[in-house]
Amino acid sequence: MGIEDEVLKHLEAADWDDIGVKLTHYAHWRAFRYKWRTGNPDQLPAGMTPRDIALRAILKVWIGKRTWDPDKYPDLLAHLKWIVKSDMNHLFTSKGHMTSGRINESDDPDGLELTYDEAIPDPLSGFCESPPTPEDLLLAQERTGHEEKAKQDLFALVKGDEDLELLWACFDDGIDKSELIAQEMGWDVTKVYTLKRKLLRKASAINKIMRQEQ
Amino acid sequence: MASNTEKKAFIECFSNFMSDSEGLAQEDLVAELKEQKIDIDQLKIDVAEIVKRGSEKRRLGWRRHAKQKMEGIEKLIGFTKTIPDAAINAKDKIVEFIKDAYGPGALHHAEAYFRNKVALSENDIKNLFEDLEQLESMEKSSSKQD
Repeated sequence: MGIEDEVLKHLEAADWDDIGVKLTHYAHWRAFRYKWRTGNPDQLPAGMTPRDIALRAILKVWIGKRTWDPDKYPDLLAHLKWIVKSDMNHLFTSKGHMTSGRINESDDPDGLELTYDEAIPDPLSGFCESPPTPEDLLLAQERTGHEEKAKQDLFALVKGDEDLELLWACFDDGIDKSELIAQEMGWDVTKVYTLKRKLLRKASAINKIMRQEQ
Repeated sequence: MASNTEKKAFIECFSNFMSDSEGLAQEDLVAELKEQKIDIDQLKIDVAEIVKRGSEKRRLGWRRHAKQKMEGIEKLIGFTKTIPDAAINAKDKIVEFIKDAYGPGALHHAEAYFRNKVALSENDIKNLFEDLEQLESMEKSSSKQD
């Protein structure tokens, strides 16, 4: 059996209903990490939405524009997430869509991205190479202010719920992986998943705050 | 924390945590997306359409490729039958075809084959292409194992 046959076999066997939903969910939350000129993470440049980015990632794998090697990267969803991440980053950094910079993105320790051919450029690197202008500093200050406000508003949403407050403390410490959170707090990982579900039920309120942060 | 990477900002951690669907059931995600005013049924239809078209396109692409290859081989076999009357070099034609169809690497095998043949028959050419097809599939499977 040829490589193409095998890729097709894997692609056809995948649960695309499940992938479509998970990838759209991923794209939706991923969009919050950028400050879009539109001021709305659901309305991206060029009339795109996070949903469109997710669908385009699926299309790219199917038409072979983004090749997928199931032997090297068996997790198809992880591969598609990487495409969404890369495409969203490109959409943000291209054609002058950047406004006041983006939410900080530190090195992603996932390791997945590092193994792919195309590295995702770090838009902050430009700021590091040349000394910041007074305008840059002002914008950075403004951004920090917005983020601090969003953080406070998000905290207000969970105040009084001890477990969610502890979860917030983990985010404050830079911990975002469910397993690491469980390890840090001495919880079973299923408890972290329960907390995530609890937060999802507050999605409308969270989205409102995150949009204001834009 | 065991890692010595730069500490992530709160919002970054929060969105990373929320974007990860691990531990969430399909119902949780569907309910959340519906709250975002995303039409789940339409989303599934759109995905299914991409999958259907993509699958057709991929299958069609290979059939076309295989058909072109077969046509090339048949044309070459037909050409060898007219060799006595042809003024052009049959070996050059074959070499050109092999280069296009199997890549320059296959030429070494073909040249070795030609060295062992004083005259080329239709069967010789068929055997040569069978060898090349086998070599190609062996190369593919060994590169996959790597």
